[in-house]
Amino acid sequence: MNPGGNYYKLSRLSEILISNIFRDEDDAKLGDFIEVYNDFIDNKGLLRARLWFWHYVFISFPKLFKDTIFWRFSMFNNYLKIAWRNIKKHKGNSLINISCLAIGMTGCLLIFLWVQNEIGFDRFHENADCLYISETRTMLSGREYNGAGTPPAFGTALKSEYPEIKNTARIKSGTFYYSIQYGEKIYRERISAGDFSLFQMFTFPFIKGSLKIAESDPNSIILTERIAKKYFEDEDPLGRIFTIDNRFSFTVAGVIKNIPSNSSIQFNCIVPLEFIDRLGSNSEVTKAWTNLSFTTYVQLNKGISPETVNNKIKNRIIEGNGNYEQVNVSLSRFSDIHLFGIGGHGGMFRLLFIFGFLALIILLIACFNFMNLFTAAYTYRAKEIGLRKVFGSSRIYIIKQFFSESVLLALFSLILALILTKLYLPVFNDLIHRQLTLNPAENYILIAGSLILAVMTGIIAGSYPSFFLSSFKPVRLLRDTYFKTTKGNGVRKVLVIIQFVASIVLIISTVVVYHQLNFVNKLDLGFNKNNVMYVNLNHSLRQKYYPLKQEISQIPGVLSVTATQAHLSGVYWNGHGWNWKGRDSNIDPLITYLYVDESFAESFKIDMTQGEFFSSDNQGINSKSNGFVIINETLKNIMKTDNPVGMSISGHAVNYSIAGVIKDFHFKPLNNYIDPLIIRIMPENFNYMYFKMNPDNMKEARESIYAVLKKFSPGFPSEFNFLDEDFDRMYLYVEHLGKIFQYFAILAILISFLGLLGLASYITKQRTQEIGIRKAMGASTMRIILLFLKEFLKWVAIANTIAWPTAYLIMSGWLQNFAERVSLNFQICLISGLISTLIAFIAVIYQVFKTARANPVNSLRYE
Amino acid sequence: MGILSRQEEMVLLAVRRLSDNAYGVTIAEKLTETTGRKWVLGAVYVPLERLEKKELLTSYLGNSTQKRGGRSKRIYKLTREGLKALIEIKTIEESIWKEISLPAMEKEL
Repeated sequence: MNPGGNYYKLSRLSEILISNIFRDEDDAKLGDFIEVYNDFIDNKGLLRARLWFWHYVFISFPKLFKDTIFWRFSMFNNYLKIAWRNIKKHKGNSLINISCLAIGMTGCLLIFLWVQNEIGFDRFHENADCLYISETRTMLSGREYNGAGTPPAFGTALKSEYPEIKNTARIKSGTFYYSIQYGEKIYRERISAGDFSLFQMFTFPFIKGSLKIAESDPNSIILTERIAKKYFEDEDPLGRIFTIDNRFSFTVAGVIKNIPSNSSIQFNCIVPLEFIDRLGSNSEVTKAWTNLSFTTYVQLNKGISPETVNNKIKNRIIEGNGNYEQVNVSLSRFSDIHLFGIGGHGGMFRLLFIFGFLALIILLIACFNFMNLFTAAYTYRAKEIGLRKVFGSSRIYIIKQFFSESVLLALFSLILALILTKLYLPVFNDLIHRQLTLNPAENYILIAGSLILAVMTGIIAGSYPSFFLSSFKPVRLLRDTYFKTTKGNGVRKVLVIIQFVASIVLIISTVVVYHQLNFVNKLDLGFNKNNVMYVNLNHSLRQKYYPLKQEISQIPGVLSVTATQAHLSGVYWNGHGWNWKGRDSNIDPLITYLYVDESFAESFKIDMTQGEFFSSDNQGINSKSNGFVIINETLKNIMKTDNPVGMSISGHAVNYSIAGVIKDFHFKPLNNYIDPLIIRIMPENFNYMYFKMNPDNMKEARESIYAVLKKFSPGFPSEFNFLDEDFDRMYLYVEHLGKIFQYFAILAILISFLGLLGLASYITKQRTQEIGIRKAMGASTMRIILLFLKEFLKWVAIANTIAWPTAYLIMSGWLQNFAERVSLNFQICLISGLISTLIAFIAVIYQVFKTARANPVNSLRYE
Repeated sequence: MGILSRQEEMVLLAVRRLSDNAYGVTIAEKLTETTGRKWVLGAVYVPLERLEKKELLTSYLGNSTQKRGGRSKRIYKLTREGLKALIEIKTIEESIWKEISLPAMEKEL
């Protein structure tokens, strides 16, 4: 003992170590050991004692190892061997089992990869923790609008007025296409305009040139690798000059690495924000407080929390422009917007959640299947289990054996699932517009996750069978040749019914989802977009618009020609501050502006509800249009007037007279509600020129159009676009979602079918004797089949009765999201009911037929 | 009574000799003393437990001391069966060894 009279204690770790070596129920042995240790200290000193201690531990290792790991391993090996043999013995059944689980797992894997990708969006930026986007919240006419549109002056104000803000960058919202020309190559490109401080805040590395070069020249353009390759191939692009829209020259100051697909900020080439000022008649657009057409990204200083800044900037836009008195602004984490959207709308989260849930359900169905099939196969193993028990195997060991079998099967399924996933990935990628890859070497989470998944599935799926099968008394097991039991049939029936219910609900849901999405897709936009070709006007063409229109209209095959400033799939030119007589002072709606020409209504076949559209003289021009506007029905309703024609409406200090009311049509994508719209004729703003074509001789007409365009503007690119294709592409995304849903439903149905097949086989085998007797007594095969069918039909009927109301509830809940919805009719339920019955029929008939055909002598011989 | 191995026999003897103080540490010490070979705790536990299973020994938990880090001792005692076994062994040994004298053997060496 030490001078104080206390005895030395072992450290906790040492205690644990020793207890493991001794492994007794109480601590007596450990106590003995401690006593010896203390004696040692007294006799030989602390150092020797410690040496002795570790020596002791060390030499215990071999036995410890042998006891724990080696024997466990060897027993495990034994389980595996038996499991493998069993699988080989019942190849058919095992195959069905493995396939079912594999399909379920594939679904999970795909969803997992997808979720992984989506979560990783925007997180690759170095400053990701400090990057924010400015979100606006506007209360108007009782509704709350969320958006990310801010005035450009806001960004400048933020940077100079708030010390917490390290940097800001603004990007013009919306898409702009202009023709870009380098040498001989001239194409229409999407051009983005934004502050180059973007490159200080976000991580877009330069592979050629640098930010410094770009900042020194206001006429710089920065390209992505892909665009650089397109125009310059292997030449060095630095210093080369692009001509944009035939009138602007920009020098290539840098090339950045291609922007990865998991980035919300995407652009092909970018010019400084001030470019916008040069485009139209207003040269102060980028310094103004009067529009909301810019996205402002903010980088806060390290350690600053967004809440403190939010309190300060909340009313900054209102301060800048009193007309925006309802617009509150706050900062949201940039890396969150992909998942959670702007103001909580439009993020991917909901979608991922739904599909994740789906995948889980399918996996559960597969698990139920597995449970059923596994238990069913047990008939053949009755003797084996009986023997094991007789030889002294405790129930625990039998359970362990079954668990190892099920886990082994699950692991096999995992391998199959990985293969299936790899095969199916390209198709899936197409559907969700991403580039997912299955790369186990890099994706540790994937490997760990899928192993855990497989093992857990094995355990869950094997739990019921293990406990059930090991519970019987050995005598019974050994005695009956064909071991039958009604025990457990109840549970099995329940499992099958649950499976069926899930599948039927899925079928019904898929049909409804498909219909609804289709419906939204083909929703009448309110204007006719068929056979409408369009081009982007460049500066010179814009100036000569009317003569151009005149000449093209003469071409046979061109039914009409018109123009707008913004693509009809998304018109985002808008503003507040409009006034009219009798306006309620707290109503200041966000009104969209559409600048068109005189043929707009006619080309797109939109009707006027009141008044008349702008008429034109024989040169197609309405010279008196300047002070007139046309409003849509929504605006009319907001103005709360019955006859707005002739009324005056003013905005931005200009008075206009309303010439008419046009029928509402959609000009924003996938929206249910139509915003108020003002239409004016403003040729100086035309960007898109549309040609409505006769579908019969389009090719020739097209050539002629190009000839005319090139005549007016030499070198004009020969690209063409169709309006309806653009829309289709946009809705393609939604359509694809529907497709994915479909696939999943098919998966579920497949699994259920396989499950039912296995189960049917089990039940018929169980009743082989009965079938034999019936046949011997003279029943025809047909009658026997009918007998079984009746039973199965009962199950299917029960499943259907549960499934229909469930599906109804779920679907009507989902459809609330849509302003315009399809109706849930009974047809759908009937059809799915039919499909499920059909599946059941096929499964049962196949099995019973096989058994019933057999010679009854064989089944009755061995009693 | 089954055959006892030498090891088991020695352990029983040690338990007897230690009266009420026979637990792991003391038994090991006693055996080391008598046989001249180092007995480790493990070497003692194995026969102890075997003997207990054969019901030649019983055990109970004794008091705990600071020296043992607060753990109690497991003290072993001979059962009646155990005592009978020892008697049998001694009887047989004595009858076998009666004829043979120690000095005579040593002289031959």
